Amino acid sequence: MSHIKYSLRTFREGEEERLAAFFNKTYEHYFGFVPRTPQYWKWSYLLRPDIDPEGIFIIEGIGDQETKGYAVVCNSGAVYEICIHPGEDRDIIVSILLPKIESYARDQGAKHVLISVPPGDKTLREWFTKSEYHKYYTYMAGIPLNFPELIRQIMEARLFSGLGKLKGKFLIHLSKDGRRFRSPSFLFDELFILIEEGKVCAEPDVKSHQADFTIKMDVFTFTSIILGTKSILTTVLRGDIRVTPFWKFYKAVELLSLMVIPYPWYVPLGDRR
Amino acid sequence: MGEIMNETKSPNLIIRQYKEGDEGGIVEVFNSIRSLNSTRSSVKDWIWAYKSHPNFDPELIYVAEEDGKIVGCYHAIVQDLKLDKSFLRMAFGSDLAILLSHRGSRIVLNLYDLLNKTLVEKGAVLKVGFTTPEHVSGFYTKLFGYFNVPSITYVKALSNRGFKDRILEINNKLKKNESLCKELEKFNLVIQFRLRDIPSFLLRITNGEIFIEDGETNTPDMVISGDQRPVLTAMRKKNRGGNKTDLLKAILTGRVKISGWLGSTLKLYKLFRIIMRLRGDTALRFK
Repeated sequence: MSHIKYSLRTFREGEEERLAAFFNKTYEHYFGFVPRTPQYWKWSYLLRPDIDPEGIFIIEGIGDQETKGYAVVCNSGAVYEICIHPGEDRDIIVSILLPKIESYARDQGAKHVLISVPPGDKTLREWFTKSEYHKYYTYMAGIPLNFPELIRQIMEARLFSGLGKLKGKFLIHLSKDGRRFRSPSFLFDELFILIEEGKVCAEPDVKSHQADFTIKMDVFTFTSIILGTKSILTTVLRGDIRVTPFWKFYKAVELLSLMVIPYPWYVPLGDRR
Repeated sequence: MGEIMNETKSPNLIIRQYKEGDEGGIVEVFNSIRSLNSTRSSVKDWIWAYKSHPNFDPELIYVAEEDGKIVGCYHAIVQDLKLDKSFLRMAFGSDLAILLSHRGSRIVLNLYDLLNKTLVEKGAVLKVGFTTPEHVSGFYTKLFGYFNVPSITYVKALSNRGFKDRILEINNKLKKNESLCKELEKFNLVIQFRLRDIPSFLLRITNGEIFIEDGETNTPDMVISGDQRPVLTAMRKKNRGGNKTDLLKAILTGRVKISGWLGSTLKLYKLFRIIMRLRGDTALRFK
C-alpha cells in the first residue's frame, strides 16, 4: 500500500529548473553527463521533436510534493533520462514509473523500450531482470585532444583527494609503445608527468628531474586508468606498469589510485547524439 | 569562414566549416547512408540537434563539398563537465558521415583533423562519441587511439517490429546468396511465436523466403512460447550482448518452451544456422 505515498503525473510548464536541479543532485557522484541547466534541460526534452510533454513522467510524494523521480520517454520508446532519488522506497518508485514508461511506449507504437542506467543501480537492475529486459551493449569511445592539459586539469581537480598531501617528487613516464595514431594529442613519443608538493606538470621536457620513483607505462593504459575505464588491479596483474625502484611499487599504486576519477561514467541517452 | 583544406584524391573537393544553407545537404548525406529500415532525418531534426543547442558553434561543424554538393560532414558540441569542484571541457563528437561513393578518399581523415584542431583551439581536452561495436575496434581504436567507455543499455521488445526488420534484412541477404537460397527452397516451416509482452506472430519459411506475419495460425509446425529475453538475446550479435547459452538454459528450465515434431525441430536448428551465417556472426563456428 506504499503506492499511496506517491503520485504520478506528467510534466507541467515551468518545471525544468526543478527537474534539472534534481538530476544534478541525484547524479552528483557520476561523471560524463552534461550538468543540467534549465536552458539545457528545455532544449534536450521540451524542444526535442520526438518528445511530447505527455511522455515526461514525474513521481512526487503526496504530502510534501517533493520530486522522487522522473523519466523522459520519446515516441520511439527510448528513455532519454531516468532519475530516481537515492533515498528510501526506490523499488516502489521504480515499480510505478517503469510500467508507465512501457505502457506509454506501447501506446506510441514503439517497438521496444530502451533505457540506459548508471552502473551499480541495483534497484533498476533487479527490476530489469524481473521484467524481461535484456542487456544491449552501446559503444562509447573517448580520446584525449590535449593530453598534457587533460592530465593537468584532472590532477588539479583531484588534488583535494590527498594527492596534494603526498610528500615527495614523482615522475610518470608515458610512452606510446611504438604505436602511431592520427590524433593531435599523441604527437609526442614520450611524455613526463611530474608531481611535486601538490603541483602537477605534464610536459615532454621534465625528464631531467630526479624523482623518488618513476612509473613507466603506455599512454593509453594511463588514460584509461585515470578516466576510470580500466582498473589499476587489472593493469598491475597484466604487468603493464613498471616502477623504478621496484620496491616503491606499493607507493606507486597508491599514487595512481589518488589520480583516478573516482566516479563511474554515466551518459544518459539524452546526452548522446 | 574557416579553413579550407584538400589532401584528398579529388581535386574538386574542399573541406570547410558549416555555413547557412548547408542543412539540407548534410541531412541528405545522413539519409543516403542509413539502411532502408532506419528512421530518416529531417532538416528540423538537424536544426534542433545543432543550431538550437545552447552551446551551438558553427565552427565545430565541418563539411566536405565536391562541385557544390555536400558529400561528408562531422559535427561536435563542446560542454563543460563537472569534475569534483572544477570543470572539464569535453567535446561530444557526432554525426560523422561520408557518402558511400566517396569513402576511401581520405575525406574522413581531413574532417577529423580539422575538427580536432578547432576543438583544441576552443579548449576541449577530451572528446567522446557513440558508435557501433564494429567501428570501435576496427576504426576508432586502431586508427585514432580511442579508449572504450563501458556503457550498458537495457532493452525490452514491445512488438514484433524489431524481428520483422531483422528478418527482412536477412531475407534480402538470402536472395543474394544462391547456395543458401537453394538449401531453403524445399524448406516449408511455420513457427508460431508466443513471447511474453509481444503480440503473437508467425515466422514462415516457404519457397526460399523468410518472412514474418502477425497473428496466430491453427496449424503451426512449431510453437515457441515463454520469456522473450532468452530468445531475443540468442538472436543478437555477441558484441551487442548476444548470448546463446541463455536460450539453452531457458529451454532446459522451462522458461522457454518449444513444441513440435522432431523433424520440425531439426529444420529449426538448420534454419538457425543459416540465419547466423547470413548475419555474419563470427562468434559461431557453423559451416
